[in-house]
Amino acid sequence: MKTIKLKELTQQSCSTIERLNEGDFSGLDNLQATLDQINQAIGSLVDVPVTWLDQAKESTSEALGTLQKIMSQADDNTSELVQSLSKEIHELTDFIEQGSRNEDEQAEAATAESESSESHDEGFTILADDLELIVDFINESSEHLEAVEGGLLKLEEKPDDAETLNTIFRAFHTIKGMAGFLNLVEIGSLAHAAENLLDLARKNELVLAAGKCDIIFASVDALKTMIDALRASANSGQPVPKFKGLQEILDGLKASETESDAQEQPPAPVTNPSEMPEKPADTIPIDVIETKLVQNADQKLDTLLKKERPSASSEVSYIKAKTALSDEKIKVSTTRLDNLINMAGELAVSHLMVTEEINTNVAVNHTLNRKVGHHSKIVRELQELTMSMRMVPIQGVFQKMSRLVRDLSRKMDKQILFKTVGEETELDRSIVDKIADPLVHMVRNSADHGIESAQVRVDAGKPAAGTIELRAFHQAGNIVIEIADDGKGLDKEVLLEKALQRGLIQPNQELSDEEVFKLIFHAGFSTAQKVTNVSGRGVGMDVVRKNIEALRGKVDISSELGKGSTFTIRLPLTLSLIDGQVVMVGCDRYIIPVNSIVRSYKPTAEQMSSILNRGEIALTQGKLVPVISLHELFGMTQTSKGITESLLVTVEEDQHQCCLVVDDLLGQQQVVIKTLGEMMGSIKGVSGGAIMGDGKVSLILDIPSLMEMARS
Amino acid sequence: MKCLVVDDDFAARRLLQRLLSEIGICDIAVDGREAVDVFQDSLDEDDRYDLICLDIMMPQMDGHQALKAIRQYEEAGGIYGQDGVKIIMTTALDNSKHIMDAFREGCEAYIVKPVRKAKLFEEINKLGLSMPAS
Repeated sequence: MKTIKLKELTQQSCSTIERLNEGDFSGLDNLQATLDQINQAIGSLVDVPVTWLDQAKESTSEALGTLQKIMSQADDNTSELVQSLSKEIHELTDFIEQGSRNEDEQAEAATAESESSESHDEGFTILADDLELIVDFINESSEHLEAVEGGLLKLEEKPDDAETLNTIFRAFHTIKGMAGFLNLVEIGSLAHAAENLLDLARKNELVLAAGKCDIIFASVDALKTMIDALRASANSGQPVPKFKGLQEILDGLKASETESDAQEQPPAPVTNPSEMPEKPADTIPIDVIETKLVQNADQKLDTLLKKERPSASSEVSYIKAKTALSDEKIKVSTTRLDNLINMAGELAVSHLMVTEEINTNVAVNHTLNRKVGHHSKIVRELQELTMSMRMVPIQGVFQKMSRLVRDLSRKMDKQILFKTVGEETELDRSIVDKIADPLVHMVRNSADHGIESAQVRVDAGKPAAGTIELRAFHQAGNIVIEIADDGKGLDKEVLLEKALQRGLIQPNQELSDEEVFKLIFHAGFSTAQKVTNVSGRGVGMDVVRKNIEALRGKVDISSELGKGSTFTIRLPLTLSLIDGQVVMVGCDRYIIPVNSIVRSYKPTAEQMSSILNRGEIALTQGKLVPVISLHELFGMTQTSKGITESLLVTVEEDQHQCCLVVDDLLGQQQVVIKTLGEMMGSIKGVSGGAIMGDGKVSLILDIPSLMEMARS
Repeated sequence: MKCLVVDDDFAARRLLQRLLSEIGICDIAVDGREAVDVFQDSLDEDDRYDLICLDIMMPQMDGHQALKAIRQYEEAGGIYGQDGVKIIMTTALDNSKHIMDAFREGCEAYIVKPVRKAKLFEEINKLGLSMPAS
């Protein structure tokens, strides 16, 4: 680590030089001594590339030479000499720093220095010193890019929205600045080019027509790719690969700057293209705007800005509020947050235990009861608050879909109007992450198969532009996400035919509409005549359902031929709470997730029948449903009660039903799901445990695996 | 070119002033509050600065707050984006949070002290400000 000493020495000489620049020549002698030391230190270095050594020696002696010149002749060109000396010393410093970095790298990983010399072609390696900054930059810029995307989509509808334009501009500006600081040349140059184009748009020197938005979208995508590559490199320590195709985008951006827009269509709101071809009179022709602009460009800008400010829509103020908020945000790791939630849950449970203890063992004491009541309220609020910390708005996902529809409508040459409702609806962070993929599939399907081409739509008497609407809202403790299109709808006949071919159903089998539609969730079920590059319905629909069910959610379909289809996804608010029906089996309590319960009833003897070697079945609502005895399953000694004395709970999963025999229904309550712990591993039929008010543990039944057990 | 150097440390201020005097007029301010006042006056009188070198750790008002105040004042006056004054943060603070915050608040460049002439002029050059024909 000789280089550390070298660095110190060079820094010392740098500060002397700065003083020299200011006319203070007192440090000259010292400087010479320092330079001599540097020379020695370089000479004593081992394990460094020979070329580096030679160059370092050379520049040191150069600096020494200049220094001697200054000292020997105190004539007119001293200041010149001082400048060249300072230049030389700074060069030397940079050089030595670079060398020492190389050394650091070598120490860090066994990567040979040859890599860092090659790195000019291959990209560059992230230095350990910069790692923290780079990681922050990655997170930071990803957020900015999301904001850009959202802004651009808005801008396509309203190309002259100054506020949005500024938001986008600022995001690019920030990315450029940070990239510049971190020496991420490619990212910096791309952000810079995009920024320039936007600046022109902001000055009203050009209008961001569809084509120009495309190129900015392309740059956003390119930036994302580069940042992803950066992330991968930051994780693996590999050099960052060079981004291919950068030059094309840069050229495209450059060309857009100069290219005249007069020939192009007026700024076409893609998401609302139906009006575009028919009545272009809505928009003022570009050349008119341009003449006006030339006449009084400055005034125009001022009035535009002033006009836009007060009339800023609620959306804009929302973004503003968001930016204002983001200043006060702090980032907390999810592990810590989960711990907090867990502790709040524990607190609630221990509080319940205290309350029950008081209720049973303490004589009526009103003051105590009031205090306990107050405590309960605080605990409940605390728990709700901690839960809400994991909640994020679904907006980000919706925005992705909006972009997706935009690209799809271009690719497939369909006109699609995309609407979102309830973007601010909040749900658990982990659900948001996992719901994005299924939604992409479903939105693709709607765009590809749901929405017809413009011609077909007009012939059917529908508006040329199809509509896809994405809605999110809360309903009865669930989050509901709906994807509705006004396309051709699902054709039951085709579905049935296909299902017959695949042997999924028997001929003449009676199926409800709902059941028919759900056939599309079977693996490999595709009604698309040909599989397009976008989707073939059924490809992935089974995966969609599996993903949603993994989140303890459900999908429903309603569809009308010729009118459109609606897919409804119901998801729990969070994955750590569950609405449970507490049931008594033997002398233990179990919890059945409420959303899988269809009905519960007391069976009569006529309803029950046995099949030899197959167990019992119950006739409920005209259907024969297998009966699972939880007593047997969990190895309990059967209670003396006969089956007609017990209760049957019909549960449904995956369109299969079965009846669970329980002794009593004890009521519904929300419970915090706890894993059983590593010691227990995963137990079939049980998905977790919950601590009840009396401190005892109840097991939460896992319906799918229960059914599997019953079948085998 | 007109520059404003904002730093509470005399030596730092003097160094930057000397360097920048080579390429234009250079004013100084000793803390964030004074900087914002001076900047607002310059804008009101339409004698704008081209460049501001802003320290972060300062009494009264720190560099982050000053940066925000300057950008807000510009926006209120209808000055956006590339029309705004170029701001280079010149500070000894080199941790990630300060750097990211500064860029988010709208600075153009960030130089970690000690400020070196070559680095400073390189950044000024990158910002597209006029350089002396040296």
